[in-house]
Parts: sequence; structure tokens; C-alpha cells
Amino acid sequence: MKSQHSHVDDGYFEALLDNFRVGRAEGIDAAFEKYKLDALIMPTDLPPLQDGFYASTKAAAIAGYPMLSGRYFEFKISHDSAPDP
Amino acid sequence: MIPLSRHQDTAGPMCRSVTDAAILLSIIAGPDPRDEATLHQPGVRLRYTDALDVNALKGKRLGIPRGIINDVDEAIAQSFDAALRTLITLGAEIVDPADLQSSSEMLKPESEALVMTVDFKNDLNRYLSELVDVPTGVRSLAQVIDFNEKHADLELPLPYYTDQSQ
Repeated sequence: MKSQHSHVDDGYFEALLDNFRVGRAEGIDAAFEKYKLDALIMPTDLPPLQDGFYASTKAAAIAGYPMLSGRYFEFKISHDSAPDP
Repeated sequence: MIPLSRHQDTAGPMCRSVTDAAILLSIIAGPDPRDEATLHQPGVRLRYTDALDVNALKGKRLGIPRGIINDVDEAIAQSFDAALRTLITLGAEIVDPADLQSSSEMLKPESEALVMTVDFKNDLNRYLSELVDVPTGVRSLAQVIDFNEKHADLELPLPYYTDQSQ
């Protein structure tokens, strides 16, 4: 219902710009530049009580950038998994 | 695929191996006029299978943004540390911490929540309106809310859902 009653207004566009600033320019883009990174990695954390969202997915979501998630057992790397030539 | 927010969602494959993910991603990636985000990607379509390389992690720098990580379950923390050791064994360099300048702002949900709240209605409405067949006849978020109220015994089971305010 909160979504149903929402509107695309100035506040929405300000929030969108704010997300890109926080997520990209002063977030992931800046960290990649500062630390010369190829990727960020993190464990899945416990959701905060406040809004129930995981912080570990937040950075990529705010930036609109892709992320990978996987369950770690043991990296199994073998030549069987290489592509056909 | 049901959208949540066009500005925050990223579609991708779910697979049992990196190779499978590369194969599937090579097929589903590419420009789609009905998915604006895909029109902003580089024009060259990549074959992700070409990038499969057991030595790919050699010399790669992986940062851990500690400032945005909440409490972590002990079992997950141990598993993460084991994964780090494996990544190092494979030649990666771990940068820890690699904090984001915007860490404190990122943990405040207002802007993210507002964009998601507005996008959800618009993106879900478009998704539902374009479906070929909907057995319930539900074609918009407003109709979803209405449907749930009319079938509250099934759709809003207590004590988990007392209303649809969120």
C-alpha cells in the first residue's frame, strides 16, 4: 500500500540521484579507484532489525551494480569445468 | 521475472557452477528494448565462457568493505574466512578493510527505500499488464492488494501478515 500510494515526484528523483552518489561516486566507484580493486567481497550478514534488509546486498542495490552470491563449500576447480576449446 | 526496482535489480543466472553461469549469462545478456538498463551496456556482446580461466584470480585485488557489514553469523564468518584463504591460495590479494567513503550514509535506508517503493508500483504494474495470461485477472498492484484482501484467509495468514501497509 505504501508503494501503491507513492508517486514519481521531485523527492523520487532526488533520492535516485542520492543513491547514485552514495552507491557509485562516493561508494563503489571511489573504493575501486582508491584501493585499485577488481571486486568487493563480503559475507552475508544478519539483517538489521530496522528494515529487515541485508546490508551485504545494499551497496550493489543502491548503485544499481551487479553482484554475485554463492555458497562456499570449497572451490572446486578442475579441467572438467573448463570450456570446450 | 518479477521486477522489484528497475534501478536496483540486476538480472542474472542461478547455477551450480561458474561454467554453467557463464554459459547461461552469454545467452541471456544483451540489449532488450523493454529493459532499459540493458541498453546502457557496451555494444559488444560478450561470450562469458571465453573468460573461464582457473588462473583468473592471480593478481586480482579483492576489497572487504567492513564498514557496511553488520553482525555475521559465526558459521558464515568461519566459512567466509575459509573462502578468503582459498582466494589467496588462488593468487588473489585481499584488501582488508577497503571501506567505502559513503559507508555511514549507505546504512541509512531512506533514499534506497523511497526509490524501491516508487519503482515497485510502476515496474510491477508494467509487468502484470504485459503478461499474456493471468488466471486471477490481477493486472496491477492495486488489484493485487484488493485480491489479497478478498482472499485474506490464504494471502494474509496471521500472525505474519496483519495488513499490507508495507
